[in-house]
Amino acid sequence: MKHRIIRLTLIVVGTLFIFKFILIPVRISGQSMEPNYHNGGFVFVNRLPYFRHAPSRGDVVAIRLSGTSMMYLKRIIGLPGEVLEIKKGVVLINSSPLQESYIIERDEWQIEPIMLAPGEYYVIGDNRRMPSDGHLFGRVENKRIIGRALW
Amino acid sequence: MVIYSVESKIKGLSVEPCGNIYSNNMITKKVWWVILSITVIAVSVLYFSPSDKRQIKTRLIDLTEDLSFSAKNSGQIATALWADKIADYFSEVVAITLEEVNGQTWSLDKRENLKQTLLAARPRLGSLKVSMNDLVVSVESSITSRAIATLTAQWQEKGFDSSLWAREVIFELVKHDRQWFVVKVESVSVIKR
Repeated sequence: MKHRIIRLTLIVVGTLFIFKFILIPVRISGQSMEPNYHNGGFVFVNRLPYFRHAPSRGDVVAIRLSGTSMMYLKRIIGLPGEVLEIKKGVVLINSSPLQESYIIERDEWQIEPIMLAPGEYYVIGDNRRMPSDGHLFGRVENKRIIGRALW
Repeated sequence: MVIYSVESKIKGLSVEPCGNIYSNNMITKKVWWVILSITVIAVSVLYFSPSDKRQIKTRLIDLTEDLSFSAKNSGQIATALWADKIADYFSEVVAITLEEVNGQTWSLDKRENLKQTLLAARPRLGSLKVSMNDLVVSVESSITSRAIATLTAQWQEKGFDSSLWAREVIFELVKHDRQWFVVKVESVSVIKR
């Protein structure tokens, strides 16, 4: 009986620890990541990958606000030190077009060339059909990126 | 039965080592009463004279609760009362700077202008649900009575657009007549264009 209680306690504490600090379950709200992540959908944010490696292009990441209760879910398209611009909806990295297989349809967004500072990433949503004025995207500091979407 | 000696002194209660069972029980009872009394006093002090941090947290939670409204209460009187109630949380010289999704900033100053903006905005909204998360309060100095609160504001309009929005916001507050008033509101650009 005693061993069973200890085992149960360990399982509960371990589960709480994992889902609080390592694999954070989140509910998605909004259409900015359509068609890959749907409004009302569910995903886990894995915090482990960025303890050892820097975020890479194409990663879908969670960006924290004042804590981790609410986060932004965006895709990384620009890395530190790169020059990024968007011409007629096509993303150019150091003047070369970026292949984005995850986008189905795109509006003709225009973003002037911008150089990313050290420790700065460029994040954007997958839904480029919507007008750019209603879409939150741009530069984000490395310290704000807390993890990667598990799928 | 094991009898153990108590060699502690608790505010005037001196306990002789190796006393008999009866007196030890009496002393134990008295000790429990002292602990209970101290707990009751401490809880009362915390409840009736909360710390600045606690006061600010309560004040900001009340603000978000009061900001929320349902479509049922949309008459002119309800709107006026709502705007008055919200304005009461702010100082007369409040300055608000918020960043919009497209990166442009929206600014407003003075309590009266805030009230007018609220009066104009409410009829356009079906209903509004506001809440806050991850609140961190730091009281700069107890002499100047100035504090900074960082939080994630979350809101959802029902009607035209029912999306859930979130922004990191910094509130600056000052204490006046034992009440905290918001003097500055500024959104943080987590993602910069």
